[in-house]
Amino acid sequence: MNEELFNWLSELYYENRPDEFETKKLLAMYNISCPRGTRVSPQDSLQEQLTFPSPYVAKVSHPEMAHKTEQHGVITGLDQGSLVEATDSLRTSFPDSMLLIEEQIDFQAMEFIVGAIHDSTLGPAVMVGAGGIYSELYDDVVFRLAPCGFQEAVRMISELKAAPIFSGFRGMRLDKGGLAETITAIGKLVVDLGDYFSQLDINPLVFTGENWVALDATLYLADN
Amino acid sequence: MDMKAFFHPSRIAVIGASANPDKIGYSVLSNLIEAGYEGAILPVNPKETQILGRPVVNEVADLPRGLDMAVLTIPRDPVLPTLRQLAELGTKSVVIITAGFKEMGREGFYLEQEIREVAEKNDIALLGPNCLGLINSGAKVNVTFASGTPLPGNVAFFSQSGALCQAILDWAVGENMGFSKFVSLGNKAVINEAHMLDYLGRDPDTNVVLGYIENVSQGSEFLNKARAMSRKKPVLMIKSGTSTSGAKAASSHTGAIAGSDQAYEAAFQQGGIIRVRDIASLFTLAQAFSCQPLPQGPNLAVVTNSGGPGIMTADACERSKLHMARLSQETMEKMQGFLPSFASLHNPVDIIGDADAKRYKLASETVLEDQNVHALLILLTPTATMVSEMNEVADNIIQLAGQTDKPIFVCLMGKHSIAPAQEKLVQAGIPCYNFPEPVIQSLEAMYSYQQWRNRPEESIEEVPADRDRAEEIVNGFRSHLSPGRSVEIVEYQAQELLGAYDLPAAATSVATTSKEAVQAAEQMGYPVVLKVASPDISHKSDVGGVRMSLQSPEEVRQAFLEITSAAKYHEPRAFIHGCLVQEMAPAGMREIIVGFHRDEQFGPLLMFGLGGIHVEVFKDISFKLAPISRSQATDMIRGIQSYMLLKGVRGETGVKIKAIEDILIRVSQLAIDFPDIVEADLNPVLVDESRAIVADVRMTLYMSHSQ
Repeated sequence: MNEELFNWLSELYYENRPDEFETKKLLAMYNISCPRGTRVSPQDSLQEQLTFPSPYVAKVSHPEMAHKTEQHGVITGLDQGSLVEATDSLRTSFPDSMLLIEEQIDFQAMEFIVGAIHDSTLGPAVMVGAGGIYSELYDDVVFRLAPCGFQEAVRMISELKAAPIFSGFRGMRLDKGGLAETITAIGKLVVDLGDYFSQLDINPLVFTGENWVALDATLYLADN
Repeated sequence: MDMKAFFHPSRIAVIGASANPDKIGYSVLSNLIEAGYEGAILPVNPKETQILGRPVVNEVADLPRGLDMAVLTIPRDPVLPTLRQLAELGTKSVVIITAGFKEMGREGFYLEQEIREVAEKNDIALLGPNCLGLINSGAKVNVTFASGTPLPGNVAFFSQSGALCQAILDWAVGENMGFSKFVSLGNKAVINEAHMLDYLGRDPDTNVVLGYIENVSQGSEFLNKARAMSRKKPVLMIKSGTSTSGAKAASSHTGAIAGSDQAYEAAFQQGGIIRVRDIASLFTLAQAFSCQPLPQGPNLAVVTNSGGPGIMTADACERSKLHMARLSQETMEKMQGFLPSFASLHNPVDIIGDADAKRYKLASETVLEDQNVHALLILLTPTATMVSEMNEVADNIIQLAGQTDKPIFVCLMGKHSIAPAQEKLVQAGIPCYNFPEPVIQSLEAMYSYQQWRNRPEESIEEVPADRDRAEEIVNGFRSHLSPGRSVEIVEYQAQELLGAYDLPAAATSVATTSKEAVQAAEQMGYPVVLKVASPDISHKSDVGGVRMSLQSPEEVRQAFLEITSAAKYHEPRAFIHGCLVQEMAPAGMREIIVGFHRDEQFGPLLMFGLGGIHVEVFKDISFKLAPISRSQATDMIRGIQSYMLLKGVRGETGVKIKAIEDILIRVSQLAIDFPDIVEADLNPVLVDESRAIVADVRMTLYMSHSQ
């Protein structure tokens, strides 16, 4: 394991259990874009001037919170004023959790999922799929063993039922190459993590018109 | 048409009978004699006096009047005059084996048309031309030039391809598979698949009908006959040629999506015909349907002496509509009494590699008695202990099959050592395969068919509509038509037409000036939508011709000016009437698409799906041929994968499903009432929990060349 990764691992707030903020820091190390954001711990209050413009999203950032939205742990569309109010309310509902304040990103309608699993027999594998409600409706996912090269990742995308969307749909311009690069990067990340890795989900991964951004990410490390 | 004379002729003339064994005229006569035909055989040949020991008639004119059947094996050119002679003699059925007609280009095409006219005028049941002939085992008729006569059986087969008939006949003879009727349809100048379904549906000698077609001659006839008989006996059919090239020319969404294969798929489904994709499956299924009872449910039990094949069977089962049966406690306890301790009592029941005939018998009987079991598969690998007992196992199965009304299938995994047992089972009418997957395929088809039989007949409800007003609107556009041309019904009128059928048209009015537009908006209430009104512009948003969510008189005035000038700019030659002012549906309603496309053979093919990505990217669409009943409308709605979005997910409220049903039923009726509306696209229709509204509609009127 390289030094950068080792440092990341040893600095986790909860040992061996990265929260969303830390997971996104890791993704950024692999050139996967994430919204700009800052983390506020339960003891601190939101006082410093944010270095990025509104609108903001405030959400609970805790390793155990996989379904934030369903648990009302996410508040969107905030400006400077309403942000304080929103963080206070999240504090009341989730007193022990850290909070994540991020810039709110505009993106094209189609969401994707990119992730990875660790199969006990075959080792790590990467996955790409149509995201949001489409993943539930059409079970549209493709897997490959990691590591996974760029061309292989392009083929994965072409195997999706949603593939036609990359040839233009209602004026959408989705960058297939960029998505493939993200898949490849995830493949490299999980191989680098080696035995520490258990499961990763970037859901959703969205396209802003310029690049792919991981709006939410959950990483589970192995128990050992 | 006298189909009795066709299938049960009392006298047959073979015109073109020949003494030369290389000629088709010889083969037909020889097949007929060898089949043991008991009626009079009249060979016709101008030169001979006797062929194959039968006295010859020299002239067609000398044939007796009112003959049941004449078979023509003469060259192409004399076919038409000969047919005319036969018509004068009152011949009831004619089989034209001769080729060189429609399939050979223009001249042949017109010749065939004349043949059809003569036959139809004289009510002659005419088979072919360009066919292999027919066989009716029950009447000992074989007027084909095929080699070999199949055994009698309870399966009927008809085919549009003569070559396929020949191959299948040869195969059937080799496999000892029997046929009741065997008909080569050829060019289908008169007799086609619809006549076959009609006759074979009533034929007491036929229990299963098989067909191979490349196209259907009369779509609605075919569908009606299929509906009328498919609950009585199973029809298994192959339809080849599934190209969608024809659909590319269509202009609307519905048209482009609905290729002709979708129409066939819908026709087969609504007619209760089991569609088969390949010839091997056709006969696998035929065998299963013809000799086993239908399963009363989806649950299969497997008794096996080997683990691997048992697991593969369970896997195949899970991929199908069938389920692996859950055996009752009682069944498992009973089996515990006679099975070794390490046998698996759960389904698949593994009675272990050293199983003998007795263990197979006891396990099979016990499992079959279980109420949760609807069908049984006995799976056997030829282990050393088994090989010597194989015949005994087969005898036991045959006996067991005689005592139960549940279907039993056997899978003997292997080839060499299982052959005698396999033959014994097949002879006794037990489907016996070498691999488990065909068992699952057969049983799944039988189960689906059983469900079809249990489904009540569809009843089409009366749709109240202001038909006079509808007719008036459509007539206004008909005047712009000429043969082979189409015209679009402009949205304003199309919305009104929908209104006449009580469809939830969006309130719409036409404004020729911005002042009128504001007046209309004030009356309607804000927000409103403005759309360019021009008979020459069909894709309005492409020319900047649509503005949504207009909230005030000023916005409406502004939008009117912008839309009309943008449209003029993009389409300088278009006649621009002004703008449509339309009520705006509230935000958050779900988008659906309803439409139809008129299939040449089967008429209006309705389609339904969720708007946007669902239809266009995931192709999540359901199709049915009009007219449809309410339950069929429900099936269409539930038939899409994204149905759960309509029902409501993640705590959202669902939409009003009945409103969508109503739309489908009414559009179905509209499509039936106006055969010259060739395409309609209600896209999008917006729905929420209380209502639906048609936000945009396009319809195309077409006048065919024959009108």
